[in-house]
Amino acid sequence: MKREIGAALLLLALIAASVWNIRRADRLTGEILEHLELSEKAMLAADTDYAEEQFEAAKRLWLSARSYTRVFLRHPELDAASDMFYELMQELQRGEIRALPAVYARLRYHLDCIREMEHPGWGTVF
Amino acid sequence: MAIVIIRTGIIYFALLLAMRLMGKRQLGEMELSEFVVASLIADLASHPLQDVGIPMANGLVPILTLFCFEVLIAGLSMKSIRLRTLLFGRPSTLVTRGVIDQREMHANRFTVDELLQELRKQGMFDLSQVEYAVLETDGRLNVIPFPAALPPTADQMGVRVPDVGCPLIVISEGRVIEKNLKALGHDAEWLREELRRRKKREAKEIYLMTVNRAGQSYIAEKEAGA
Repeated sequence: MKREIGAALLLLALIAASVWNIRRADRLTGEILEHLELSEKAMLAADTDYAEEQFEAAKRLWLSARSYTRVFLRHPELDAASDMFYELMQELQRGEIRALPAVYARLRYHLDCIREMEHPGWGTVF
Repeated sequence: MAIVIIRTGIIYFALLLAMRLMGKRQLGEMELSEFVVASLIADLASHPLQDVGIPMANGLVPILTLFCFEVLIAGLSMKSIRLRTLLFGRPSTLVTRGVIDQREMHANRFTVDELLQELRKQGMFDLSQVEYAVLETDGRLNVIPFPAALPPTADQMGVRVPDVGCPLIVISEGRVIEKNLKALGHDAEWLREELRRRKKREAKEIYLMTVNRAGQSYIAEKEAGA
């Protein structure tokens, strides 16, 4: 009976950890997306300083969460998101405004996909 | 992580169902849920090892989940006969009082050749000597011959056989197993005396020594250089 109780507790702990993981991924991607949105709006309003500041905040959040993301999320997805961050940084420094919305959209979409991948649903389970 | 747990659950129960429908022949001396876990775990463990792009957690979480399912299913099936029957099935009697049950054979996808092969494995070459043949839930076939085909027992022959119990290992590769010595009701002094009687000085010279309840011993000496 002790083994069964131990297994039930372990299963509950795994479920609790997976709920924590969903919330952590939601919070992380949510905060980054907010910064990116502000950065994009500022860039379109020609406020490049604020746009870069917000972008830097988003990038910092992404990079500082590596100890979490590397353990819980698939590495190819993380590498792709990191590449997109550096691509956006390049475009921001270049100041090519016409290309920026697409780069922002790509990064936002990818982060959204990472968030969604942690949520159980028909699409993600099957 | 949640998806990994849900997917593991779906695959575990799907495999359990599939193997249950496939019949007992596939199992090969393992219970159904053990077979499912064994066939999944090796593959689950190998993926994060081969691909460093997969987090270790993606390999560990399903293994832990499977462990939990297995322990819980085994525990619940101990408590509920209905669940046990549902998950693992019931033993099937393929031969009853010497008659092959063709319906059971068909239900278990057991051919006559396979039945005869299994019987031969157990030293039964003549089907007419088989009273019962039961296909267990772990895929093993147990056979009960007709009484006339059974070898006579000492009781039936009126022979008295002394009960000497199971021999226990007293010395293994030069080391004395104190626990076994004590269980046999002997002590170090008895062992020294026994070795002296066999012209041996100490336990180090012995590779294996077993003793039964009647005090009869078997000794294998250590070979030089072994």
